[in-house]
Amino acid sequence: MKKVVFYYIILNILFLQIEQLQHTGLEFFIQCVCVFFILTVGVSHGAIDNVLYGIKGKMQNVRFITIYVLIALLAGLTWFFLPNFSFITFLLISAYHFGQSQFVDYNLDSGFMSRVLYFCWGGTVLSFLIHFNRTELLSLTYEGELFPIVASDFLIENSAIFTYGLVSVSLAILVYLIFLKNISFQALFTELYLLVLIALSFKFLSILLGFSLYFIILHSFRVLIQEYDFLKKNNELDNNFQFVKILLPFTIAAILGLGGISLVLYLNDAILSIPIWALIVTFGITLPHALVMEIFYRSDSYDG
Amino acid sequence: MDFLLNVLAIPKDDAVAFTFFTGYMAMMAASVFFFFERSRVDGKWKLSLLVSGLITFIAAVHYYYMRDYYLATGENPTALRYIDWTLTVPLMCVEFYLLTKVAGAKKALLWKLILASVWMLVFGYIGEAFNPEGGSTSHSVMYGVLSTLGYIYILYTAWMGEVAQLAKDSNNPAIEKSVRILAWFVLVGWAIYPIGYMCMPGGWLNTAFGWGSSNVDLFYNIADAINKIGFGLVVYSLAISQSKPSGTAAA
Repeated sequence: MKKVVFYYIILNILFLQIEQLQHTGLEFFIQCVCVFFILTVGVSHGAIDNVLYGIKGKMQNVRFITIYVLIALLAGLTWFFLPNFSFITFLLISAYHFGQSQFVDYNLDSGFMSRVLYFCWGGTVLSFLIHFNRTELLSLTYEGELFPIVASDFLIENSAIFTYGLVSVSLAILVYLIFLKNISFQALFTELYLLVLIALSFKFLSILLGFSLYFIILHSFRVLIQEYDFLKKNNELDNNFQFVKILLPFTIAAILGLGGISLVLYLNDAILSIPIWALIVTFGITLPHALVMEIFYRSDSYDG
Repeated sequence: MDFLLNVLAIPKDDAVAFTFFTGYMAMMAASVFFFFERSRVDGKWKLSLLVSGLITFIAAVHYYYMRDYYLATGENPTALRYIDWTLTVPLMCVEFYLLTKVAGAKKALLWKLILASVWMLVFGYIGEAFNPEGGSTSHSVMYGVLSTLGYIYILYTAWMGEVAQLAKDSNNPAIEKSVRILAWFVLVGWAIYPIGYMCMPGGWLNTAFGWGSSNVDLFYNIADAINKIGFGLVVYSLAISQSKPSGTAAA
């Protein structure tokens, strides 16, 4: 069992008990801790995309960052013209990215089947999130006064069908991979156990805590470990502090950027509701990061 | 005669009473099986099988009393349950020690595991037996979390700590596999117990979903049957696979 999986299990076991207290002060504290870790661990896992892309030299770095920011801005802008398209693209890319980071260390071949598995496993996680928090999500979506996202209502209303479908396909592919001897029974049990735990976590914990535990530990922390191991293997790290030093500049820049956008929205009397704004910003961050990670995972220098 | 008839009357719709009887018979049958099969395995595995048999036998005796207590009073036999666990759970930790002894496990590991299991049970008992009248969520959660810390230690040791490392160092795939299966029992099988714990008055499943306190015993009985007999069967399977066939031994 990988360390991240162990930490995820332990924290879920503890929080599933602590959440029973329903103590307002404690819940607020937990929410603050979640936001803190999303902004630090969550944001930082995409803070060395330039290094992972293999950028060398200042000029190359400036060009990379310019293109990266342009893609992010473009992704954000599409919401104002094609909100439903952007929403669906965001979910598909996130699903693929979540699934990819989950299974990349199994060293599956980069064929069609493994890509479908990435989509379906990540899609399962997202469908759990939507399905087990339907009421909260429906109440949020109607606050999006600037543009309606019909697709989100459709997804929420039919979340059960999506959940069953994605779980079934993911399991079928995992069983197929056992027949091909690409993964072991042990791996299947671990993934099944994780899926059940993610579902329980999304159902019984608050939406912010449930998603934070998944996003921070199972995704971001896992990716950070992959990045650390990669840099260590390529002799680009002498110690852990150096890794933090590499992560810091773009993590701080991203946090300041997010803070700036929040301030602009606040000063303009919130032309966008918080959930819609959060979706736009998250898509802006996710799209270039997912593209870089796809290239990184497929590169010869990454061997899991 | 009346006394026997009263004891044996199980209401058709009482799943708890049903599992008490089934659990009792299953534990007793497993004990007989482990004790008899002990003669078929090599000397180094005899102690492991004896411990497996003792775990199920101690449980069977307690189940004998618990089923009567439940049928007579309709209440959870909490004290009997924890007496049973205080004896059998440390013995399950002994199984981990015995399996990894071939790879050099020290007595300190055994004591650490026993200490963690006692910690887990003591706080579980306080949480359950001293739950205020009508149930208290804060009491249940506080002692539940404290008890969980002991569980986390055992889980860590079995999956990533000393036990896992020793199993790896044994260079014996059968031992590695068996320790891994036992670790799965700790992860999944032992996780059934907190479900029962949360069904007591004041517990989350009781207050949020209305799962009555009779479910406490239902989950405990299911978990006991899976874990105690399952643990023994894993050890038995390893012992048989690592022992010479009796014909070879005779030759």
